[in-house]
Amino acid sequence: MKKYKNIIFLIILIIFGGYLRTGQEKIENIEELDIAVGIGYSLKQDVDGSVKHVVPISSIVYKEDGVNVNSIKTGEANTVALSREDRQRKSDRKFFLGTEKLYIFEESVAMFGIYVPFETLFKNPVLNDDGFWVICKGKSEDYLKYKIQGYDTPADYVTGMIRNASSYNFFQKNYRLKDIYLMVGSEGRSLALPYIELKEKGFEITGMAIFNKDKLAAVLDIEDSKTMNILRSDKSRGMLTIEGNENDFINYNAKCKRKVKCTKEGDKYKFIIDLKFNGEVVNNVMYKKLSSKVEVKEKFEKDMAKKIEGRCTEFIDKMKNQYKDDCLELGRIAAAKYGRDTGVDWNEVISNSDIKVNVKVKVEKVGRGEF
Amino acid sequence: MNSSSYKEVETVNQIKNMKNIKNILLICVCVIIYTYYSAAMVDEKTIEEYDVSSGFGVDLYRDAAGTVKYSIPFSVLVFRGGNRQYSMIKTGEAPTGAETRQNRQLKTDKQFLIGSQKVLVFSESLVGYGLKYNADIEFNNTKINDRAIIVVCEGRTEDILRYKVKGYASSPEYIEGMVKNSMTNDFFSREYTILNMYVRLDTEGRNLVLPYMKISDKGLEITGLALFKGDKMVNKVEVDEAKFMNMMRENELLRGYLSIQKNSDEFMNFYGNTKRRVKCNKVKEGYEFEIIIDIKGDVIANTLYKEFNGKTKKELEKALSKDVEKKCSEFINKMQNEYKIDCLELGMYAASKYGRDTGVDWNEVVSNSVIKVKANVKVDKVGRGAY
Repeated sequence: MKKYKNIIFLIILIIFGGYLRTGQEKIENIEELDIAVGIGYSLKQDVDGSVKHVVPISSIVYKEDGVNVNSIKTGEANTVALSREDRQRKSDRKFFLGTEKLYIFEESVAMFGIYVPFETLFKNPVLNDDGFWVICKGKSEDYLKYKIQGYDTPADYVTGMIRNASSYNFFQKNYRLKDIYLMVGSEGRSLALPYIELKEKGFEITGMAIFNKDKLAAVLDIEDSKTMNILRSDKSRGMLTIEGNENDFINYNAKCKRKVKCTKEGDKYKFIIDLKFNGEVVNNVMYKKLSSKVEVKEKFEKDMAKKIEGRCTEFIDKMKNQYKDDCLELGRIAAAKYGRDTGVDWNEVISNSDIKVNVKVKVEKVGRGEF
Repeated sequence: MNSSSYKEVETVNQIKNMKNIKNILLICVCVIIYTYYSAAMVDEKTIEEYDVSSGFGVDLYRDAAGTVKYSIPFSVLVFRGGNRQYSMIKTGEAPTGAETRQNRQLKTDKQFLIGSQKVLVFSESLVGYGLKYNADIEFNNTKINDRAIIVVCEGRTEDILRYKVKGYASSPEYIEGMVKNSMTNDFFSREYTILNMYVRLDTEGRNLVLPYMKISDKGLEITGLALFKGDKMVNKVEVDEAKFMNMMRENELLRGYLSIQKNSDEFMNFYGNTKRRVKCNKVKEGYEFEIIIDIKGDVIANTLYKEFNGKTKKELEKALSKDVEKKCSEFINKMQNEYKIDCLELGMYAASKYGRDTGVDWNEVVSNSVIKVKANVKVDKVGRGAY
């Protein structure tokens, strides 16, 4: 009994001591913290040729009257991690990471390679893996500084833009940091991120930035991005148009499903991409009596399928010859079937393999019909 | 096989069955729990997560290469905590109207709702080009608010939508009130809606008329009505003229002010409502129309007649009738010779009486027919009398 008594006493002591210790830890008020919302990242070349990493962080300063202020604090140093030190010297508050919604990386950083900042991001356990990642044109600081009435920070706005981009233009949803870790690290996968620009009237997604390994390969314009997104993602949504002359057009808003088959003949791979579109005719002045006649509907479906097919093959040609990059992530499918870690460079293999696209278009709804 | 071992086998089977049932139950429970949670995970968005707009504009321009481009700005409300509301303009630009949605999504941070709009602003460049292509997209959309009001504006629609009216979160709310209430004073119809546009564009012998507005130095202002021929705007009339046009045109009770003025000291103002009837006859040379306007109302200011009795009342009624008739005939003259459109929708009456789909161009027929106007004014009240 005595033996137990001592042990129980000891345990109580430890619990009590632990309790007191946690009580002593200082808990800061929200007003005393810099709550990070958006993180930018730029590179700067010094006079002596050394590269400096510039990391501006946009944070909200909470005030009593409810009007919050966006403050930008920039750290400059020789490495990403050291920039924290530099930033703290300029700040009156403690930095609070873990709530950031957006990472804006400059185009120049992407060209330089993203492994280095990636390393720092990945190491940090408090960082928010659900934050979105975009590539921007020009200085990332300008993006974080831009004022939009009704929003605390522009990072809130851009986050919303990326989150809701998937409702049109066939954009995907996986532009979060955790997805990107996977995209960069897995075999046969490649990174593609939204590319935003700050224009006169505000932010705009102007295309996609595609990566070869960790370096920027090309920036696609919005039309090419659409085609790539159709071919790249399993499920997507967007609008397609057939245009004749000026007043002859039809708009088709559809959901797209992708299935890829992969076969191997000798050393050569062959891919068949099946695309299934299912959607609604939104505006139609081209096909008369589309809603009442089946033949017209079938003709439209055929025309549309042909048009999409042409567009896709055009993009694939461009990809194979110009970008030389597996931006459709076909290597992933081939690797899953024929073995990983065989030392194959999928970018090269895909550029030399045969890729075929089959398109099926279905009109589900026609709205109230044509006027 | 003896009976005891037979029993044993049976019990073993029973136990196996029990196990099977258990497994099935487990799977069922898993499925139920999964569906319950996955149903709860369906994107349910609050109103703050949508771009709610009170109105949008439709603009059309040609770019440097000469191709047509639509520019469709949405006036979007941004809700903040408390009572703070802001409005933002989000513009989509594309070669076709529907594609602007796709383009707009690249610039906006929320999904937008199409259909909750109260006001549509069409630019002069669009209505000059033709409404047909744009009417199709509105007609096709099952979610659109068919009672939304349409106005035509001078210049760019974006400027109208961006215009700040004090006390209002966005200008479309103000425009809606303007158009809706102009019918109480200016003999405006209450039917400048999308639904009405479909009907006017597609019916034989009818022509569309829409309020025309601009930004003057004092703010937003309705300056008249835009006249359409088919789906194109061809002309516009000022408010003073529009008054008499509406009186003859609209088959509904209209309200507004009339006045006779001799000089700055001698005048008479009258507030009343009008209703018109149309008679149509086919004669040898063409059609003959007679429009009878019944006006009933009160005298609200009068320095013209010193004394008010039965005799002067009759005199006043006659004078006012004559004045209305004169102004109406002036308008008809102008319509037949200058505008050359059937903006009184007389073709509709003729077509209903003498047959539709005969290939007649009613604009031309009405421009060449005889149109007579008769006004019957009746003074109801004179207030507390002359001062």
